[in-house]
Amino acid sequence: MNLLSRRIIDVAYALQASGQYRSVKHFFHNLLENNDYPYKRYFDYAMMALIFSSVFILIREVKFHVDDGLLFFNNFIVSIIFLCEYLLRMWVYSDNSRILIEQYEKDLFLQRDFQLGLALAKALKKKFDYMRSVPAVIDLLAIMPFFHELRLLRIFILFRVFKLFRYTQSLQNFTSVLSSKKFELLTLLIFVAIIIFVSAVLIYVMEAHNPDSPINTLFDAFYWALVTISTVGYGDVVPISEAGRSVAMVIIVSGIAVISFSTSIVVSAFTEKLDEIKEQKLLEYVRKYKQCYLICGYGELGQQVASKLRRKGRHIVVLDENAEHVKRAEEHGLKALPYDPTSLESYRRLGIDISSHVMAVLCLRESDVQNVYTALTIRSMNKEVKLLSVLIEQQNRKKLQLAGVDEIVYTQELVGMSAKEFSGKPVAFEAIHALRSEETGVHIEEIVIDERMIRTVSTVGELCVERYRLILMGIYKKDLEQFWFNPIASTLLEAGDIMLIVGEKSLIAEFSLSLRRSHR
Amino acid sequence: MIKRDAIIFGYNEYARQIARNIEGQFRSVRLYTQSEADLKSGTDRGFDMALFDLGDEWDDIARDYALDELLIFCALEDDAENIFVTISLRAAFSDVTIVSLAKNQENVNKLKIAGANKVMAVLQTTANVITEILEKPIVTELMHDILYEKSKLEIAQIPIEAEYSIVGQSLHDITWHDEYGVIILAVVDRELGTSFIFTSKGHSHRLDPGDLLIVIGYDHDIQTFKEAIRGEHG
Repeated sequence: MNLLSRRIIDVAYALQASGQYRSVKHFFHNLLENNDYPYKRYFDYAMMALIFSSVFILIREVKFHVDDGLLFFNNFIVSIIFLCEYLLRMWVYSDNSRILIEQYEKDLFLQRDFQLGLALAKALKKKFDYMRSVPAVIDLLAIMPFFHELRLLRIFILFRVFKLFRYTQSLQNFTSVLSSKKFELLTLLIFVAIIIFVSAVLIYVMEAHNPDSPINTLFDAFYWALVTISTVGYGDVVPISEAGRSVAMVIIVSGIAVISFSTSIVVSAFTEKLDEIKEQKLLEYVRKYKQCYLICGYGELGQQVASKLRRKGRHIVVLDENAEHVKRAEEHGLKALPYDPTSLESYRRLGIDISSHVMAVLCLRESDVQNVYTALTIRSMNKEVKLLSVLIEQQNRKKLQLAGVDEIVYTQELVGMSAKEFSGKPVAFEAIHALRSEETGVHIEEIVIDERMIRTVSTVGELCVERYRLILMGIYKKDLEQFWFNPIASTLLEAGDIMLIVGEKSLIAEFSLSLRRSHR
Repeated sequence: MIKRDAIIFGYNEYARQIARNIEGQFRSVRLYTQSEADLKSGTDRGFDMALFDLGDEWDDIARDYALDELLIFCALEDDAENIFVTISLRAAFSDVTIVSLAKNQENVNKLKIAGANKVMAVLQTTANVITEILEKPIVTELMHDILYEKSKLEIAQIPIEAEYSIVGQSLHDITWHDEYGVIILAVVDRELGTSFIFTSKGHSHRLDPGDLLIVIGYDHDIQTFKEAIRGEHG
């Protein structure tokens, strides 16, 4: 291996090993190509603003004097920004060092000399693949106004408008919908081209020799054919001979066929893709949730739980294979997806980070088998997230526990225990239930004591709950994992402790706010 | 009136859970079923079983039990049957306490109209518990411990009698309960029906004889508190 090859391979390995290089490349990849990257949105907005300002300057320049500074901005600054973007996109499109290393290792394995030329050709081919893609060609044309001396190239500013396709999801959807009907559209285009060509030639032959006819050149003939087939029919160029008018009649009928055919293609493409687009939009929405509950199974219990959590202002995502359940969830204003909660693929498509975005996963399907399966699927991806499941048959409790469910709710047991309490102390039971149901206006709330509160209050006595007509039921000491019921006034408060407060909701809110203010 | 006997209609997991949970509190707990097979299975598992059919006149119940000491649970599998049994029992016994289970939310009202004194909405109860576990885990644990006696904390109902010194005082005036380590959560004013006056909302409520104090505290503290309010008058 010659010195040059050695040097190139050394550089390739160094780049592959460099954490900094990879993180910079990863950052630009996210910024330019990753729709889920939160900051991409801002980058897209900035680029769109540049495009609109550029087009505005072009329009203004037609009839008015434009400040030289603005022209400089338009011709140089914007173009340089677009050039940088173009080069960065080309950079992140493929990994040259990886291609070189792969070729080197392959040659090493086959015990032959490193073929630098082949490796470079592969790397360049990748970059060329990028350069000839439609969006890249538009990007390149949008940079052209940089050569502002060539006046014709000024019009390339309009290509900047096409760049908008890159930055807006709905425009991308539109092109993807149309590209799904590529074959039909191409057929239509060929059909239209043939009709235009035949009609233009025919009309030229019929009319061009007639001095009274406005069709004198082949260009006039093509212009007339296009205006007629598109059903626009300006009327500035019309055939005057009978033969010419016969051609016109044929092209008019063809025009109607073309319009109806093209309309039906576009409409059917949208109809077919509508569900996909809707799902895509829904996923985008769901991925923006910072915290949400994932409900697997939207049966009767799922509906009740979702409605209660929703009333508390929580975000909810429903997964259910049953199309009727999904429809009902949508009718209830929830974000629901017809995905199978037992499949890993569902969560991959959902694309949310369970550990940071999901507060808890609720297995509320009406079968223990399905709930165990769902729990295991979740646990195979994430060990930490809170997992709650209903238990349908008592004998399956152990299986749910083994599947990693943190909280098991067994309805029959709850009913049994409620019956016990009701038969023993019916009034006390009702009081607790009235408090829990929050229907009387009196709530029981948990308030977490944070560092800020500690700065103003350090003991239970300083809380002055009586002033807000509240009752301090007790304090949960997080470090000791113990609940201190009705603590005495001198009890020390620590950050992380949780107070249980009973009282009117508005007063609890006021009390909580007062604790967070620095001066009480 | 203290309930000494309990009857449970139905032989399913709900009925069995109720039977197991309440058996220590009653002199007798009998499960009524419509099926011979359930009768045998229940008897084999140690339950006191009996047969009934939907056309029953409930003569055996009238004969075997003192009705004012009887608590009836309707826990049949089918809500429609539950409603039918509830209405039929209410027609036969106007004063007996009937607790019915409603699996479906829309049947809660129907059961109340049918004459149930209390309706346990199964779905709603479960949904409430799930929401509470997720949103207020500490409250859930505490309430669970208090209600189902998993810790030494208890909830007690203390009736106010005419001779108690606290009669005539407002909830706001009674501050010395702190000394006993108990919390007065609510008061039930029998004169105003059975609705609750939570301490935090009804500071100015004056205690009358017949009111019921709902108190939370440790067992011995509650006992001391009871003695204190009794003893204060003398």
